[in-house]
Amino acid sequence: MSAALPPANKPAKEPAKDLVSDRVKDNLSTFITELRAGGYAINASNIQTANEILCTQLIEDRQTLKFALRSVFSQTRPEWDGFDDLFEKHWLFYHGETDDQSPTSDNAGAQNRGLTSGLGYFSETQAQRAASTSDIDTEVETAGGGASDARVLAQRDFRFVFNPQDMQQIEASVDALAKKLQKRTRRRTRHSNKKGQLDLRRTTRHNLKYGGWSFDLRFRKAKQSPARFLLLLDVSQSMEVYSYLFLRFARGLAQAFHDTDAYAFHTDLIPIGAEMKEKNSARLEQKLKNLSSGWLGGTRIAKSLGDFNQHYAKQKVNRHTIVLIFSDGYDSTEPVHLLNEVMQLKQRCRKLVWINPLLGRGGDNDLSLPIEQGMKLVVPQLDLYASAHNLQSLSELAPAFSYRRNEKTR
Amino acid sequence: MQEIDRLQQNLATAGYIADHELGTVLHLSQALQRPVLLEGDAGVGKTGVALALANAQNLKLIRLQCYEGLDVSTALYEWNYQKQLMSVRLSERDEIATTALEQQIFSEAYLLPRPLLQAITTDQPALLLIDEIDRADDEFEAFLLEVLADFQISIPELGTIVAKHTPQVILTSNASRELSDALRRRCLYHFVDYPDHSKEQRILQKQLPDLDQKLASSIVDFVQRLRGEHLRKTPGVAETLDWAAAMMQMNVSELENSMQAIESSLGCLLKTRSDLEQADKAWVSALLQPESSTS
Repeated sequence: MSAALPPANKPAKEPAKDLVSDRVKDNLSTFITELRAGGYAINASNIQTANEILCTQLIEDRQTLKFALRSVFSQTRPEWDGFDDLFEKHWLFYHGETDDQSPTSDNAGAQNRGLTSGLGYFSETQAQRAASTSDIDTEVETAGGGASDARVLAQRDFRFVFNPQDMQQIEASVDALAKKLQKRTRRRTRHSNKKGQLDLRRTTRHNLKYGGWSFDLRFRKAKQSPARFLLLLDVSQSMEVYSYLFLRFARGLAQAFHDTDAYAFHTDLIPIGAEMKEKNSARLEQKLKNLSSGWLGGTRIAKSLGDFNQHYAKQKVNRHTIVLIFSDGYDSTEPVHLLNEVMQLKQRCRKLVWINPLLGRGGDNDLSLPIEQGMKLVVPQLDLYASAHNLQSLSELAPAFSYRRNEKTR
Repeated sequence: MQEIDRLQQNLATAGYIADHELGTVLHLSQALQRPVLLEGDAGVGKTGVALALANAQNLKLIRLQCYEGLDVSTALYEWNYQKQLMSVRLSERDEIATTALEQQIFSEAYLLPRPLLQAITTDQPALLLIDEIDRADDEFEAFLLEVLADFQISIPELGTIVAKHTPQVILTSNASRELSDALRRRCLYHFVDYPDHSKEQRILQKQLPDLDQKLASSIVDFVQRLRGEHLRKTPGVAETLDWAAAMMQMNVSELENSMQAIESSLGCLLKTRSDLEQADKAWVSALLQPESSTS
């Protein structure tokens, strides 16, 4: 390492282009292409710096090289977070090995934190607390028995999770997901240069000191209204396997997004928005127990939506509201009633999203099944019709939280 | 990687526990003479990196604390108007020629160098810490780009001043606003996250050597779990250190049997009213002993 780089406070050398072999240059070039495809904005200066790094002995240690290149090519936290994956994939493809033998301190920490314990219906677990602090992907990759096990768990349908430890991992990840979605919907990864309309009043006022000459222009920024979320959760018998996790997810969302309201429905509609805001787990559990009479019974989706439209929609839904319905779509009333209620709701809201856990089961469930006949009419009215039967599909729900309407229905 | 290891050791001697990732970035910053942008939540130790690095490498620390409304004159230089005025008054008696007087009062003797100019004109190697750059205005950020690119400053009355020693530059940001792409492009980027258990324990033992190891471990356990809660302000390392010091002051030997001390000192960790309101006895117990509380 010594003498490989100029010491501090002396001019840096010009990049020793000849010292970098063609193979290394090609490799870097391919990697940069992959990074650019991943959304990284890489310019000539970055590439020059990377070339300088490749001329040093930093290239001999893969971890150090990864850290060095990451600091050069990443400019924001999402890029910084995603760099390791891209680097490892590139390395795996070109060199046929991964970086398992030398986990980073974060991974080791996540493993240490991945302890679990028994819990009540809504009690906090240690794993859940740990998960909230780290990214869900990291958690899934590190907790449990290695990357492959975690990936299998992420893809396993919730109804096939029987091991309590696996369930605790899933609960932890579901809780962490809300925080992740909060960041994803609010983040701005690029600096905006839009100035908005000229504000004549403020410009005049501000330029009085120049004798009325408008040297310093003031612009009016468009006011952005944050999205509001409305969650409608099916807690009937047919949703028994999923409703518990969806309630946890709803609780995370209600706490992550300030303007969120929630309702549970089976044969009746029950407002649970205030309960979902409760941060204390013990108090929340008690409140939900008091409300849970009739849960895990039959379903009347159309009637419940009708009640909502009649009594709550006017106050709770406006053009900024994104409505998310978590239900399998099984309704004992005529499909046309459900269609009418859904259309009424759609007219009021910004975006209507239906999350159906049965959708992800593949061949054994599609729109031709009798229980899905109602959904056949409803789906064309939805902005997004998505599945959330396992961790992976749940984590892919980000488009549902986007303010844009132009998501395609499945 | 001896130099990186040595840098980590020097930082540890100066009281900062740096991991290999941070060590690599700081080493690169020195070698390539590129500024480092450290981003992360408040209280994770971003400013501490600069303080420790200056201490470890015997660099003169020059700090520019950014805030909304920070302008070039506060950051770069100002003329000493009082001194200039006094000279003009005195020169009236001596009848000095106007041109000579102008040269005199617009010389370096009448210049008040502010942090950026100090960093450029200093005779010894320096470390320029530009703290909380996200608090400064866009205009100042644009001005900073020019300074960081050339390390030279033009003063109309004096001419261009070029840096004698290129200072090492560390910028910190709490990500309270988006920084421009142009600034990010010129810096090496490093995200400073909350430390994991072992690192936080090492930090505690480094900063508070008298703290009992078992108590330190319990404190770190508690804080790590606390960070997983839905809090408005997540406690950083600084809060952990404060709380550990408070525990020592209150003669607490183990957390499990010191509920009263914990409740009365939670203000060291929780900094908003809503966070404190949710911290009732059951909540704290669950954080202290998650296994027993759920069995």
